[in-house]
Amino acid sequence: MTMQRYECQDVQAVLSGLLDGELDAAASHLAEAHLAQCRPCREVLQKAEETDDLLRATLTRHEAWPSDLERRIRAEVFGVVDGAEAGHRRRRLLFVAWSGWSIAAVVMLGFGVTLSQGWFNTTPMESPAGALATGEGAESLVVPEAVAWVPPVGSEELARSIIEGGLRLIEDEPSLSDPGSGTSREALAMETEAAPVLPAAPERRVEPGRSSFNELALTGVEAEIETSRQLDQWAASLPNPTLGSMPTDDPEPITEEVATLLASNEEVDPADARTGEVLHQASILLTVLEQAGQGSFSDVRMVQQALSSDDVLERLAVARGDLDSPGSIDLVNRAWTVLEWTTGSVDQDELERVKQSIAMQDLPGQLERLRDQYWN
Amino acid sequence: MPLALTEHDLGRLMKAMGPRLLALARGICRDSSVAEDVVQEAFVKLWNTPPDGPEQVVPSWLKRVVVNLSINHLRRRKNTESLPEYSEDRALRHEQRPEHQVDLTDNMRRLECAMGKLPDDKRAILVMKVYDEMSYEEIAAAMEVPIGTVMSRLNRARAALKDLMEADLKHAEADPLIFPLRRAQG
Repeated sequence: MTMQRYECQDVQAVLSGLLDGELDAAASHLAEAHLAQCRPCREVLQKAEETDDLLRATLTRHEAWPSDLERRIRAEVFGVVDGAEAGHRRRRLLFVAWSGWSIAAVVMLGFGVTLSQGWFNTTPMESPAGALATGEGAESLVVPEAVAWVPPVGSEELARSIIEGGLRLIEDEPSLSDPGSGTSREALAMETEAAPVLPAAPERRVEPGRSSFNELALTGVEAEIETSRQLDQWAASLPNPTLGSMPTDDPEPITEEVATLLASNEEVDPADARTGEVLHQASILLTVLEQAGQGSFSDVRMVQQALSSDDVLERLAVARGDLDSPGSIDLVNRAWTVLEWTTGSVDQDELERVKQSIAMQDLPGQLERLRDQYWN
Repeated sequence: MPLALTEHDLGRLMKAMGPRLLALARGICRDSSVAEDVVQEAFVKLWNTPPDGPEQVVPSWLKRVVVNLSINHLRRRKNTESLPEYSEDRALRHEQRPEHQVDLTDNMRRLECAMGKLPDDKRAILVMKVYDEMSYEEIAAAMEVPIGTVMSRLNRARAALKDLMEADLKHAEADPLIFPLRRAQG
């Protein structure tokens, strides 16, 4: 039966729809008809409109665009601030590359001179440099004291470490190139030794012998600038035996374990098997996150990649809808929240707190125990 | 097929939509630095995983991402800290009044306080509708609720806001210490 007229309480119930223009024609007509003859309801509506206007005005006051926000976004997306900054950085890096090249040349020259002295001052050695390089005949090699300082790496690697150390210093110390801030080669070399070790990024490998030192340095710079994109590719290439790639709506199981489970036991409900499956995946990812190395985000990126490629968050949300125990729902909520957090900007300090939280709650263990209810 | 964005497109979208997105996030989260993080994350997400379809879908996509990130932030923060711009404690509340609020009209100040005191979900839905003028369909998608629920939630949110503002007015009249400026002017 269709309602013929609205009373005050009916108008109150659809007040928002009326204000927002979201009522259908019939309801709108009934409400308008009531308002035409009810002053209190008109006042309520007018008051609500005024509050909306005030709220709009209040929020509009907060419309602003901080000058550095676009720069921060560009920095995160592209790895550089803008063209001018990139050029400035490149020039600074070129300067250090030349410094590194010079240092390397000095080191190699000194090494050559010292080696020559050792060559002439010692006896049974046909080719000490070759022997050092290949390791052949090392037991019979008499190394003169003067060359005992030679580091266990090739000279080119030493030069590269100096250059890359310089690059790190530039990243960490923007004022390094400022006049009077210790830019001498000696200071640079000394500071290089104390430079923090960046997490290893496989993409930065450059085959020795194929680049000059400058090119090597600049290749490193460009790799540094594009670190985020490269790490994504690297994470994508990591072997991950338990997590495959498949659209969410594909009815086939993702993991081999579930495929085997379903094939071997017809009594297992496929929905239960997949619920267990996503719980298991979430457990694995939380374990990876919990054990993520300090200062390295490669583990986090791997988790992000897996979350994205396997739609873990969406499937976890679906699984949560099938749970009936409040405790289980709460557990999945907590796991979902932590995993979802990793999809955003990950701060090192926050990561440490999240790792502690995962460990304290034993989220992976709890998820595995919940998984057992679906797989057994 | 995912949208192909250039650096120029990204810059243009930031200029065109950035301020409104920031106000949207700030309205929901009530925290400027969090709002900036949310907007930054949304644009990074736009670049890394752009939506399918033509560029026309980007504004609503971005709004949805900002709303989701803001709501997720509120969920994470729940039970761990109180809202930064309001305190039940009278003395603290007085101290917490930011300087820039001094020039607000009483109504605006009262509204801001009431918004700060509103439960997160009510505040979020009001900001989405009143400030960002999202349709009920868009709000339903963002909050993962049926469309029919949106109107009743908005009704409750508006009623709660009205009650809070009225309560604040009564509180102010009963205790003029909270409004020293008005007392001085009066």
